[in-house]
Amino acid sequence: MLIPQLSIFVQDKVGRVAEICALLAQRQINIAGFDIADTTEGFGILHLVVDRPDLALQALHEHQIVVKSTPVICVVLENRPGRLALVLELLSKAQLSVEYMYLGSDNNMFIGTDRNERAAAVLEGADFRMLRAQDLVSGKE
Amino acid sequence: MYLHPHLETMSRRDLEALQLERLQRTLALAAEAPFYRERLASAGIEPARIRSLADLRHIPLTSKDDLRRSYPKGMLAVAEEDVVRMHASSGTTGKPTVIFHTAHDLDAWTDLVARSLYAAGMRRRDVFQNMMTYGLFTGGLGLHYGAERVGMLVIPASSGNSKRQVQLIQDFGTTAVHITPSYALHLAQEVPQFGVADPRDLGLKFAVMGAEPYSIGTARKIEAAFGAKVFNCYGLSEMNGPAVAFECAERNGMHLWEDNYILEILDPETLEPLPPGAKGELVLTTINRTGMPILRYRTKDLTRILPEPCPCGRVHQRIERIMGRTDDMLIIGGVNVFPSQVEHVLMELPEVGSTYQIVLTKENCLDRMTVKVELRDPAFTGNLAQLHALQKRIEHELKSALLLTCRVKLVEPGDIPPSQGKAVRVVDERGGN
Repeated sequence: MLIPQLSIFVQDKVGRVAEICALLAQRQINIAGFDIADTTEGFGILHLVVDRPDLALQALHEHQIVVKSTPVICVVLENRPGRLALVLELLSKAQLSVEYMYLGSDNNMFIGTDRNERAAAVLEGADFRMLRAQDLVSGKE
Repeated sequence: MYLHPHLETMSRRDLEALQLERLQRTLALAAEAPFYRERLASAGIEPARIRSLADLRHIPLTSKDDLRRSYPKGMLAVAEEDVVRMHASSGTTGKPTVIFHTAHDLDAWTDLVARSLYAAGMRRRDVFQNMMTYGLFTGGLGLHYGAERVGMLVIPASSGNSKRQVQLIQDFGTTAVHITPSYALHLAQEVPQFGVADPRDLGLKFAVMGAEPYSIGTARKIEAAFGAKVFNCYGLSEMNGPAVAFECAERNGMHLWEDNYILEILDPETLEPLPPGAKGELVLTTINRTGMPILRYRTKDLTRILPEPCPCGRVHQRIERIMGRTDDMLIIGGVNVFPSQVEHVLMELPEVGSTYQIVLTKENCLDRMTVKVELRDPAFTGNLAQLHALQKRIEHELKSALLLTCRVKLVEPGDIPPSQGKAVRVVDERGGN
């Protein structure tokens, strides 16, 4: 139930994120979710969820880019009032701490918590639809 | 005009006779230290056979590496119980350079500082505020005791905290300060915010400036800002510290106190002596130090002797303000830093590569050091908080090794141009002082 996510170390430099995205575009890799956690210290972490993470990892490594695969959970969020509030309420009741979250394509909400598997179980138990890794691949084709 | 009229104005001949007598005594003493016993023996030198100052050149040179290798006590020439103080400065790698002083050594050093301050015109009615860092660094205690010996009221303010510095100056009528040129420029900018419209209203008369190289232009700028006279002070911890050489009231070159040191100017490549007036590396021998005599020490500082006699009447030769270094030592906010120290710290940290770059900039007239470090892939977990912690840890490690606060910037592999020699490792954007 965990989705492979790429965490990429990027320094503040004009055009750096553009370069990374271009690299993935060249290999026809589709980005399903995207987020930048920036700092004031001159660097940040770019989170990417893509359709073919292994290929993306290889491409990034070839270019000496510092990257790690860090799984996240992904809940499909219906576009109506109260859904996000409910997700957060469930997680907080389960004493789970959200480290970051971002919205991707098709109402996919990616969430990184301190205990991802537990979080996925909690949400699934409340009848939320959880995206699986293979959904990303099939979603593209 | 002279605090030590006899020692300052004796004839050249008498001075050289005194130097030879002290050199012979120093050699006998040095041979008591394990390092020099071996060094002199392997060079085939018997101290008793050094019969003229010209014979000095047969003695091998001493380098900072020699000090590091004999750390901590290999150059100690007296019993440990005779040592009353130590000072230390940064070494080129992990180990600092330590100098031990006996009571005699401190007394002699204090005399030189007092003589220097007196030559500049300071007297017992003056109030001396020492804005140099106290501690292992020699600029604090060294000037402190010398200023006391002149009879001045000494305020051991130490460095930083401009608001308090200004208040002390105002409350106690400070007339003389010991300050780095960069801090002087910074302070001049800050003074108005503490209710003093013009730094000249502070009433300072003397600014003793050292620890960093600076140009005449900077000295004049500081003089204009404070309405005080700037006196250049030269020293290095290996040779006690400040007041190895000092400007007299003429302020045209620094008298190097030759009753305590023998000076040579050598070609840094061939290590042969250069004719008077030629620019080269300053090499010094202590001849009035008992705890830890050092023979023919390569200071790595470039200067030249001003061969003409000084109108002030002192016999001690003058050297030009320091014109550069023969090694890659950096002087950052008055602190000596070798790039190899940074490298040494980074090599201990598996999370980062050994590729680094030191970037030096000015912020509000103060030196700022940023170290760019490449993050290594295996250390990356994808966690932002861990990256922050790593950055802080490197900053902390560098601070404890360099005794200097610096900023660490984590960069991606390949961001730093591969170093071809030392120059690329350091980007100095401070501009000339």
